[in-house]
Amino acid sequence: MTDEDKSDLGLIKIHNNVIASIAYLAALEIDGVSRICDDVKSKALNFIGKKTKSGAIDVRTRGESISVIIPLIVKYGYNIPEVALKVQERIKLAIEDATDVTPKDIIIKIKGVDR
Amino acid sequence: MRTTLSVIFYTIILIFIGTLALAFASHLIDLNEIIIRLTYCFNDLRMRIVIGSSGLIFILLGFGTAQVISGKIQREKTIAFSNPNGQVTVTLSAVEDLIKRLSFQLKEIKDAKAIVKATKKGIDVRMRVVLRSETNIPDFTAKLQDIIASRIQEVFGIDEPINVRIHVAKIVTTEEKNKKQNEKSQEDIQIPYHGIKI
Repeated sequence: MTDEDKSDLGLIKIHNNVIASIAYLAALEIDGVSRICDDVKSKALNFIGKKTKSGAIDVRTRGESISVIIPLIVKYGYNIPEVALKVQERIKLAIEDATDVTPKDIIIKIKGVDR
Repeated sequence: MRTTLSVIFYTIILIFIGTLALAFASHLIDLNEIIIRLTYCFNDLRMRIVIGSSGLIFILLGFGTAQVISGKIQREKTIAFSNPNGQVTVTLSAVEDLIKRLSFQLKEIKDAKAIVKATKKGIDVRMRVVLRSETNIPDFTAKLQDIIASRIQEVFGIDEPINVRIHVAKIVTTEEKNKKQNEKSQEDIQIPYHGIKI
């Protein structure tokens, strides 16, 4: 559920939602990404006025390794492998910068093409 | 994990409903007793809250299961390739979206629908198009096949062969279009003082 780190003063835990939010914002920075897909949970939260910054991003931790699964919609006219590669690199960098953890896998799922 | 839980949950629910139906059919349940219990549930506030909240939970579980099932279906229909940082999967509906947007950019096409299937031989695209009457069909369809195949290869970086089948479902004449527009505009004309009774 969370990524843990020890300091002299105690334990630091980073929740998966935090990593998901970092990935969400980093992915949207890339030119060619239209939006991140929403799941039922985020749709329900949006419906009641609580906006989430993680969409349907799934963060899985196994031991010390982290896998991030991002479903996204790409803008029409962009080369999908190029956009996916840029998103993976940007997310990797953003997670490393923010948490000092290198994600093992960044899985991109292209769910659609938008204008 | 989620799939297993929902399968167990729905199995229990279905077995329960089935047992109730069997007991009802074989007169094992007393009808009066059911009515008494239902009346009690209907009148008691606590029971109403319990039943209402369980109804809500059932609805949410239903949505969850639908998501799991649709997610599974989508997972099967994907084109995948690997990058150094991880895997990239492209759902076939994304390819369909792209083809649709591509075809609407061509003025000869009035309407288009695409179904994409990934087979061992490559990618199979089936298109159903509605064309405008001024179009030269053999030339245009050949051009469309070429555009779609090259665009998919370019956008998705796929090397596999792409087979594009086009089915011209209808040809819309400009006269037909004008007629429809005239009919619409006639409908839109409002007669002054129409409907006022003196």
